Amino acid sequence: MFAALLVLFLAVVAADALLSAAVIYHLRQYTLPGWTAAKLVIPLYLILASLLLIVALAYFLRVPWADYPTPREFLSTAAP
Amino acid sequence: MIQLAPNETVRFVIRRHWFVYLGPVFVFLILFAVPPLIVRSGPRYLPLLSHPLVSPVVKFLLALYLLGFLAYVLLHWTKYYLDTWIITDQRLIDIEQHGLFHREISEFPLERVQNVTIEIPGFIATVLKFGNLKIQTASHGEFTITEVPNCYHAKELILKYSRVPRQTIPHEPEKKIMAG
Repeated sequence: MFAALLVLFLAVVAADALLSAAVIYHLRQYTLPGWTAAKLVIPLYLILASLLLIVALAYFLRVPWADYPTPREFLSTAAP
Repeated sequence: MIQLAPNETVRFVIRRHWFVYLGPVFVFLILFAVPPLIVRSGPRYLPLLSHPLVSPVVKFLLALYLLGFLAYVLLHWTKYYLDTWIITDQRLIDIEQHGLFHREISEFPLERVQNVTIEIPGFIATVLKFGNLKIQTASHGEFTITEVPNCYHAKELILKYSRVPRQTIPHEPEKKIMAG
């Protein structure tokens, strides 16, 4: 359980970081100097994304990993 | 990055009218609001969601979902923001942002413009004052710009600068880029 969710967490964070970096690169590269909206949106996005990342990490750490049955325990309880 | 000529000034920057994006915004609102509502009120109908072993995992997955959703919204907004038409006093630049890595830029000099037609397609376009601009040029055929807000102003500008001889256009370096 822990390993599966850790892999999922890392995969989502990596994909999100790549996508965010690509979008921010495009916004910085292709906006003309007088276009101000992009300059506001980029820090706003980074703040919100960081908050959500911290929330996700906090919930990940609050999961009671030790209380979950191991696959062997799960199979033994599920067997008739 | 668009490079302007030394004596070129941006006169108007056009993005699609906000009305066109009402549909996607409505979908975004549903995608944003529904999963947290399910997590919040779901245990009433599905008690398993409030189980101490399940609840933290569900909340963790919800936080990951919102993180991805935020990036998706930024991606869509970027497509809207970078998809523009720029009218300078010398040319019209059409930047089409199809996707993040699919960008198409075309331009033609305004002196080649022969005719500009405005089409207001329906009641909502009439009320909200947006329409389609069809620009007939001598060399590039017909250009169509859809869902243009303030289309009468855009038409006037295009016609005005298409009829002004290049040498008589005043150079205003301090107004080089119009805010967008």
